[in-house]
Amino acid sequence: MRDEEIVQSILKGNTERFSILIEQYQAKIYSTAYYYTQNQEDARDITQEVFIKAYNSLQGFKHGAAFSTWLYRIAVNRCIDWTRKKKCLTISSFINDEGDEINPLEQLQDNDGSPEDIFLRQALAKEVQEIVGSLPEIYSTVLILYYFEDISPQQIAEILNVPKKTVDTRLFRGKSLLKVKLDNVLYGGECYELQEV
Amino acid sequence: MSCKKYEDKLHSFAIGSLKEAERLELEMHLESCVSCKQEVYDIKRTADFIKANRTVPILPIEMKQNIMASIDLKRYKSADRKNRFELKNWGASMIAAGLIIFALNLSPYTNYYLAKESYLYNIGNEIGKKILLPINNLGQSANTVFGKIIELNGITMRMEESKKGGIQNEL
Repeated sequence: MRDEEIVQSILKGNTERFSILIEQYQAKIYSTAYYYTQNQEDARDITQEVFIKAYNSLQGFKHGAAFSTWLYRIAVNRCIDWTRKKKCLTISSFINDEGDEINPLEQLQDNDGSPEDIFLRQALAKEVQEIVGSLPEIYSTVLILYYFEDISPQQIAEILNVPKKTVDTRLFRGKSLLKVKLDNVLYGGECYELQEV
Repeated sequence: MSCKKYEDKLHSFAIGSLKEAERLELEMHLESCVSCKQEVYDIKRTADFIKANRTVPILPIEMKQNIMASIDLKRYKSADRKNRFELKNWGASMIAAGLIIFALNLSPYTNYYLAKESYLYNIGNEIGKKILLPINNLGQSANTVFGKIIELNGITMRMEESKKGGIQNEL
């Protein structure tokens, strides 16, 4: 059953079918929110808010448009709102319910290699993600959607409701800014060769 | 610096989302344009680097249950029932009305009955005329006769009075 058919079925009263859409898109929305917030708790909250809003707004979903684009639009708008309210530039320490500090890197998927390799890799990943998150919002948005979520420029344009040419321009400029910042972080500003760690 | 003509296609090309004709055209261009080729290489290298170094967060297991528990599952149920009920009624009524009108208009008996009806109406008219007119005439004739009788009566009374008056004078 296509997404649009599931939506129509939900609007006819089969509301339990919304769980199908959640299963299909929760991972992508969650990862997008995570790359924006750099924080799993906030990413979880944002993901839940996005799906609740999507459910309550289903009647506004236009038949003929792609459901994924519509859902991503809600997610990106919510993430942008979050970044405007609370920009996260550094790794924050996390306190659990018992009041103990926890290491967020332990919550991330990475089990290959020695503990040192894992730590270095995760530290670098965090650094890259933070650099992307620190860029101006118009660039970080397109970079996250293109490089982290593998979404095409055309679909990014539909999500953001801007011309495709605007997306391409932002990708160019965003990439240039990212390259400069990565240069500074990884190699102290000298020319660099991007290598796999 | 890439060519102006192709720079807005390079990211789509790198991710493989260009249409076939555009992809072939750009591939041919890349064979001879060093700057565009370098740009595509740069884009792919950045993408590979980020993919290799990004962290994939683990989705919380209870995410779906939490979302389903937060939404109102009855939200679209009553609205749909109400809409279905109204639509059904309106729909049925309109269809029934349409069928009746359709049937009446196309029924071979409709014109027959309409013709019959006007024929009967005409007959009624004729009969009416045939019966009522003579009665009318009769009534008028009767009126005339009565009038004459009354007139005659008046003349007779005057004659008798004048007769009485003459005999008294002779006496």
